[in-house]
Amino acid sequence: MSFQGVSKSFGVLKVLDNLSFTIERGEQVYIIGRSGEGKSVVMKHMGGLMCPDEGEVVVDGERMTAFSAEELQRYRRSIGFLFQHGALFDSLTVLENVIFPLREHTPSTYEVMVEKAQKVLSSVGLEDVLWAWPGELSVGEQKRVGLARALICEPRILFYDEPTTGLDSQLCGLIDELILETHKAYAGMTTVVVSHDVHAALRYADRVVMLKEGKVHLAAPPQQFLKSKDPYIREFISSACAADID
Amino acid sequence: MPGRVLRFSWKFFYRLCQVYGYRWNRRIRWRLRSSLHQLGKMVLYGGDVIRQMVWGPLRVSSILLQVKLVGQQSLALVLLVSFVAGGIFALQIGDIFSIFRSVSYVGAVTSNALMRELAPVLTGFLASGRAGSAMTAHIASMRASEQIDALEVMGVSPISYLVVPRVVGCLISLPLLCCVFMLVGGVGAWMVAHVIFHLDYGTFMHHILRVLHTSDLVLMLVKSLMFGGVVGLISCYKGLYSPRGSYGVSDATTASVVSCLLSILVLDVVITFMDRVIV
Repeated sequence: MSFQGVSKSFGVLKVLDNLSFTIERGEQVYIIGRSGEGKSVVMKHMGGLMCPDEGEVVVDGERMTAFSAEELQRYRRSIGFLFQHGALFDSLTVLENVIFPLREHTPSTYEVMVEKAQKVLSSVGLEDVLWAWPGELSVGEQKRVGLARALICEPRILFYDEPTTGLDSQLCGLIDELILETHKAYAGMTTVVVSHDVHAALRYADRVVMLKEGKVHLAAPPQQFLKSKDPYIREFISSACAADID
Repeated sequence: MPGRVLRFSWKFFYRLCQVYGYRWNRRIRWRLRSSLHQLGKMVLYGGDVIRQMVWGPLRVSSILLQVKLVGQQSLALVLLVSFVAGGIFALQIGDIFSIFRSVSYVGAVTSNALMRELAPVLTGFLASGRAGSAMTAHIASMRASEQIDALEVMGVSPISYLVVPRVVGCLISLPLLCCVFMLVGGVGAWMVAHVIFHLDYGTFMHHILRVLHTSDLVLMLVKSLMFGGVVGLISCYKGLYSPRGSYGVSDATTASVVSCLLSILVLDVVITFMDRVIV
């Protein structure tokens, strides 16, 4: 997947400005940056939820803007997306939420779907919540159910939009470990994480893409990122450390 | 001195016109552009709903659930309002008719008014206020909590999953509720005519059957069907394209009810005139 000179504005506010970077197949990439730098907008472009004003998002050599409605649907069925707050359907139980993509896109029987749901839920550490309603779960559990729903169709690319926002440090660590384990468990799956958590990015990512003012400030492996003498990057890392100490 | 005052006043007036003229010009252009944008969006949305209704997956259980919800939510209100509306209408008409010694026509006039106007319009109003607002609030809160984005990103069309069952539910429920309104309104009118104007059942029914025709029933059903479509389409549209956040939910719900009421009135005028021209 690659961004080729993508620009996006909301009214007079230019959020993405000629943004270009590439994500290789099977990579685990963290996209980091301060609030309002356009991380979630990048994610929504990747999910086909937004169209760029200028430039192209290219997936497997094909321009996403040139996708027909059917091609876009097919692409979306091949990806998984974990939203910031889980985005579980509150009118459905946990089981119904998890099997939702299967029910919509595959002719599987109910028994097969339930079996798959149990398997995928146990892989994210949840087993006894099949019949619970999303409102009865904690925020961390909701995110894990969201992850189970994203994983059930075995996606080629898995997107995480701020997976640890609003969680305590213990739960953050748990979710970060889960992201890494999931990436390892599904061979060949590309993982893209949008996060403001610089520690997780430096610890778990194959490559870190840092955004600044709608452009890529640095796209490099964590080691290179840590060695960087760039004042903006140094300040970003030190402010994250200071926040942790506080 | 008066010349200077006049010159100054003229310059002031000229400048004022320039500033406000420019502002109004800009405002009108902006309004026009945003109205055209809205219109285009609504046309595309309507086309998408029809396309999904015809070629999209048939979600029978969702449709039945919506029929049940719309009926259940609006039935109690319809029963109460129809009984009161029928009774009050008969009372008002009866007072006037008694001056002309023609109280026996109360049933005929009331049933005609109920069937041609009151039943479809008031049922539409009640359904938009009760079921329509609930639909908008539900879909708008789904938008606010990214559930609509989740649907889209899973390759499921929100139009097919959320809008079509609701629109079809309204299309089925509204004519049924309208028939209930007509029947209960008739009972209310009969009770007032009998208790206050001492009209017997035979005379009451005789005049009703003389003035009511199949075309009136068809008109009532056509109106209620159209109003059902309008309530479903507008309520879902306002929810689907609502601004995010809790203000977005409340704004969308208010806008949905107001738009439904106005659209029902406009559509009622159009259908009534078309009926007069055709029949």
